[in-house]
Amino acid sequence: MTLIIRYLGVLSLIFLTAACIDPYNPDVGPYEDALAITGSVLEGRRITRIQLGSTFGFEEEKPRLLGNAKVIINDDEGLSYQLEEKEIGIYETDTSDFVGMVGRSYQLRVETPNGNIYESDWQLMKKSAQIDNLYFEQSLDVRGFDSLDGVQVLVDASDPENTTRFYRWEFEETWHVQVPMPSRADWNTDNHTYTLYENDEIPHICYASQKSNDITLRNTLGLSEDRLVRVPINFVSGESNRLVRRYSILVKQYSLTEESYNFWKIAKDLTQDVGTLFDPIPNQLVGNFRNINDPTEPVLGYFSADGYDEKRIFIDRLDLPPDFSILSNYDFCEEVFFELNQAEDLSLYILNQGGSLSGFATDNFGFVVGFFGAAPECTDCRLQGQLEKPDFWE
Amino acid sequence: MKFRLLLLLLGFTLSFSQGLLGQGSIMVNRNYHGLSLDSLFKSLNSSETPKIYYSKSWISDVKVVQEKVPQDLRHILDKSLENSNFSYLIDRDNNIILLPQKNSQTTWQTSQSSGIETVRKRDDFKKSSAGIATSLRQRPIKGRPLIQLGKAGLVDKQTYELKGLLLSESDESPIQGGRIQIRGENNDIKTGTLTDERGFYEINLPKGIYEFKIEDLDLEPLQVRIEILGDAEQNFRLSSPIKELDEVLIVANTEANIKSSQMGVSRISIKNLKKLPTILGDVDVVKAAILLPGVQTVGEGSNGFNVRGGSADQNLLLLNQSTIFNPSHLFGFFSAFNPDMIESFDLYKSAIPARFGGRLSSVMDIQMRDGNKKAWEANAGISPITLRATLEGPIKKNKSSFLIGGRSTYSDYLLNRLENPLIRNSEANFYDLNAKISFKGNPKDQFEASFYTSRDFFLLNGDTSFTYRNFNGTLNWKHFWNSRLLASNSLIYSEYNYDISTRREPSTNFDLEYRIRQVQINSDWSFKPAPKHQLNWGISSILYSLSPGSQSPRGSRSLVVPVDIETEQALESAIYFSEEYDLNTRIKLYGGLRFSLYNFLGPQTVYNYLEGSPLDPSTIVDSTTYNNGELIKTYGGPELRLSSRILLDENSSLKIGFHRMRQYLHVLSNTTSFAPTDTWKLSDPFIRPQVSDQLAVGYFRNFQRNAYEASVELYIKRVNRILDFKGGAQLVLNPFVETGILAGEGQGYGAEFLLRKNKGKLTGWVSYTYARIFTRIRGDFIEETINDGDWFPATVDKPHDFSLVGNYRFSRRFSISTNVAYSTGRPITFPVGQFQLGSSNILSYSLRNQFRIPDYFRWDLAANFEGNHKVDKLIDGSWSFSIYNVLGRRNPFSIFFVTGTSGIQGYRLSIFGRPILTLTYNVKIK
Repeated sequence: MTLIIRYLGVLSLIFLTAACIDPYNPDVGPYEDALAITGSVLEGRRITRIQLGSTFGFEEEKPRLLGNAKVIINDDEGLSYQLEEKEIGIYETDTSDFVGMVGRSYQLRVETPNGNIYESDWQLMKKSAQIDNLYFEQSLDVRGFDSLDGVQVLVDASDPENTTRFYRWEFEETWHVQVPMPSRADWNTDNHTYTLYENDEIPHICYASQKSNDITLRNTLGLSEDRLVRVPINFVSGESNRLVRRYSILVKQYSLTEESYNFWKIAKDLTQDVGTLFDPIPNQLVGNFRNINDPTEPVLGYFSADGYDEKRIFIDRLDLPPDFSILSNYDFCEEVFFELNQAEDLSLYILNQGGSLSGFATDNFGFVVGFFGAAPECTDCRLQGQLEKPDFWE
Repeated sequence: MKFRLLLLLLGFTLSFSQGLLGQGSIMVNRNYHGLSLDSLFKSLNSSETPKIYYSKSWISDVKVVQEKVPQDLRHILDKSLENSNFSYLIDRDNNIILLPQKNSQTTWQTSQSSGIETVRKRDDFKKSSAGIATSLRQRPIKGRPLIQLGKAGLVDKQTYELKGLLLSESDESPIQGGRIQIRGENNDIKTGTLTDERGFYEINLPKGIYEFKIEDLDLEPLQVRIEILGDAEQNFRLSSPIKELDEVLIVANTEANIKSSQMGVSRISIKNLKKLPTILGDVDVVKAAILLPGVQTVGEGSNGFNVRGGSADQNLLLLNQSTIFNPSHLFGFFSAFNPDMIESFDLYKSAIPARFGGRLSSVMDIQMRDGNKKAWEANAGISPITLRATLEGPIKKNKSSFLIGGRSTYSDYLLNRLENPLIRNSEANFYDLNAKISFKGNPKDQFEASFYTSRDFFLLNGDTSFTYRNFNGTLNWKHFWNSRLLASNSLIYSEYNYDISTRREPSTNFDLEYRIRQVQINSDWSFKPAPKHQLNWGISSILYSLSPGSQSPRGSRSLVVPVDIETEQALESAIYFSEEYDLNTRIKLYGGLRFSLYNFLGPQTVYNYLEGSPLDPSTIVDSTTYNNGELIKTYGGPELRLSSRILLDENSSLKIGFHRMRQYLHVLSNTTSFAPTDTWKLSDPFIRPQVSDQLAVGYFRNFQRNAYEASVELYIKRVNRILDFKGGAQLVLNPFVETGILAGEGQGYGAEFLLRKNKGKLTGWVSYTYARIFTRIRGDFIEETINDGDWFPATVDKPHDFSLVGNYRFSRRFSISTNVAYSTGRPITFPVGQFQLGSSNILSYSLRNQFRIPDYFRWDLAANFEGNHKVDKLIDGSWSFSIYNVLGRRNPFSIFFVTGTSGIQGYRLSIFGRPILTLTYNVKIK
């Protein structure tokens, strides 16, 4: 139903060519600093990762993370597992020690360094539904009056026992980044000299990755079978650089309880289904944590015990039809030449114009006679990803 | 030909009020003595004003008698015409109309435009009961005819009774709320009255000569001199100005403004609305209502309107008594009402009369017009989005008529031109159809049947369709028992339904249907035992049948499980009685009592929830099943309606009014403005009826012979058990829908200022409103509470609201009009921060409605051109060009926020973010 309202909302705006959307950033004053806990116990021998963070403001990218807390999972048989702080604010279970059991209930307990104790409601671990299929097809994305060529990643999922009913997906995408003018040396702007990179240091090929921000939810309450077909997970635009060589997506599927699903649904309504004539009235999101000494303290987040399945696919350029249009971001890359005696100019170019060293000009004997400079986006793939090849990359 | 023109001119510019209005004299500066009158007139007509209307053949042998130079034209005419067969009239604009004096009686009688009913025949004499004899004789006095009424000396009384009907000249329909102003010849007596719903008036006057001025809205006012000799019956007829660009924009009954006990009512005639700037070309009653003080919207493109802070479902929208559930086409950009089919509408917002009930905030009573009883007529209009056409005419001349009209869009044609495949495969269109038949059985009975249907269709990307329909019909029988007692009985049917269908993904394809319908009987009686008393009583009963939703799989591969939420049934009945009483010449009192009773009926399964815990599917204990027709729950109670008027002096009055309203039917919506898919829900054991009380005080003052009217109205209101909704609540296809609904209360107050100019070349109004409305949702549990149970501003709380509506008439064929609208931005809930949930950044919102969107300001312009004014032209066209939002100001409809990798970005959505130009062509074929 919300989907229909959303469609109508979109249609109304399409119909109204006079409508316009402009950036607008009102002053909303200081935000309320509250604790935000995210993470869920996963079924089976998997790492359960809990993050303790704070709410954060409009212009910030990340929350401040809260370290040195004691994070404990209690189960309904009276057992407790303390999580280990892997990095500041990130707490993880040890897979050799902790296994999420279907049918068992769990609770999260957090003791912060300043002595506050937070507890979640008890959550029943759901059995996992399977990802039957993860696949992609060529598709067109329509945004306003524009349309983009791209690839739609889709999922089929089912639970033969008809008990899952509530689904949520996240994904992590990784793609191959290859810059056209990889830098072979690091330039020292103080003394105008360079240090050659080792071969494996050359920032030519990297692996960029990004986590999903959109919340994808489905339920099968109104269906006679607990089966979902062709659920769109991610649209990969042909203009995004992701499909230039090789792209991979890991789709994580969570089987939720109804309460957990409703929480995510409201979160999605508030954050993503906006900008039409028929936006939902925002409500405050009430999670399932509370400060056991001060129940009025707002605590954000939801702890759940989820059934889990994941799948990964790769998309090569060759998997796509030859006429599939892929735009490269590197068309703008141009090199600037500096003679040997212009080394100081190269330093200034790097310092003042944000350029970088892209390569060397050599004579027939291999002697360096000059330098090339270019925009760092064209010379250093590390700006977009990391040099290290991920374990899963084939 | 000229003669006919003259008669018609008489019809609409007739004026006997030379002295009353005190025009300046017209001096003739050259000597015309002995020349033909024709040559004098010719030379005068060649100058600018005044115009002289005459037929050359009449005065070919009349010579000018001029005694001096310069001399007042009137003296010259008096002398010159002394021995001729002609008299003359001078109208308001100093135009001179020559009148064949000897033939004057026949002229009056045959001239239907004169507005005065023809002389009673001998038969009427005999029929006159109670010894009331009437006679009508005309005698020109100083060129102005006098009508004598009543038979002198028959009964000797202090005052004599004059009564009769005020009718529309064009179709003989009674004019309700027409104003009759009476002024004694020596200015000793000033009085007046208003016609009731039958068009009936009644007044007591001593013997003497009076100036009568009879007016109603946009009809041509009539002025006559009448001498009262005895009791008499006299009908008057008002005609429409035929092709004159109306000088009056919107005139509520000017004097009624002061004299009626009703306040907070605006009567608006569609004809006058046609001069206002429009958006996309169609005159819109809802958009016009929004320009009135106390009426607002959530934003452009939202369904319906809000009166004094009430939600849009708290307005009772009646089209010929039948309830319109969805008043919008195309996402609210058009109203459901075809302007060509509407006569006028009344919007009641305070002291709502006892005959109305069922909604809290207002009653918008829209009257479909009657078809022309005399001649065939066709109208058509074309604007950028819509096409309109109407056809009307007599079935039996002067007895019965029909009117049929339709409207449709050709927007799909436009959508299909666009490149984008998604849009090309989308459709958005609507049509509506109205029809009305009115029939006069005998002088005592009138019958009317009217019908309305509309359909909106949307198709998105070729696979998901949404259709909604209104379906309404009214049968009405009015019976005049006698001149004092009128009964109006109606049988009414109203239905609204929609369906949604998807063909997107075979396994999840479905059809969904929703429907509400009501069958209603109304019997309204009106009795006037004496001029000082007006009694009204009646009953009303509505049987509701509501199907909250049924969903079925579409196609054999669909896995969708059929869902059919049980049909709801209820009976809403009301009985009312009211009296309006003139305590003395200063004080008029209105008292009404309405008793409404609501029965929620089976068949139904009612769930019982665990006591002491919030309503939630998980707290259901068991359920009770009720059989068909079995009584499940009863609500009801008295609704008091009071108002009074105190005349402070001739030009000002003070009014006080109170009303209580109950509402048993509610819209379920958790979007900021109502979405087309929102549904109506009947009160049930969990959802109790909404109740509101409102107390209002008003001061009304007219200036300069009612040319200006000013008013101030103050009100306070309180609302109980308004509905709100839990975040994310599923409101359609939910058998436990009560678990998503919260109950709250509202309170508001406001001051509304209005200054209106009704006469002259410049007409229009300026209004300013300061009003607040607050909501409190305080349930027993945290889940059922919003903003910690404190008061917060409601979504339509826009404290400052200003509008200016003006029309300037340059000539009879050209006018321009303008609107200016300003209001405070509505309250909105902003995110104040974000937090991480899984891999997503989620917005963390403030308490409800703690911020406001930027203020709203808009300026519109329109120019109206009429075709030429030849009377017997077959086709008569008019153009209207309007610019909506001249400044192109991007008024935000909403502000929304999107999270991304570089923080939260806010956006504002403007619906009409640039000037919208519209050209409309209307044509009338006779």
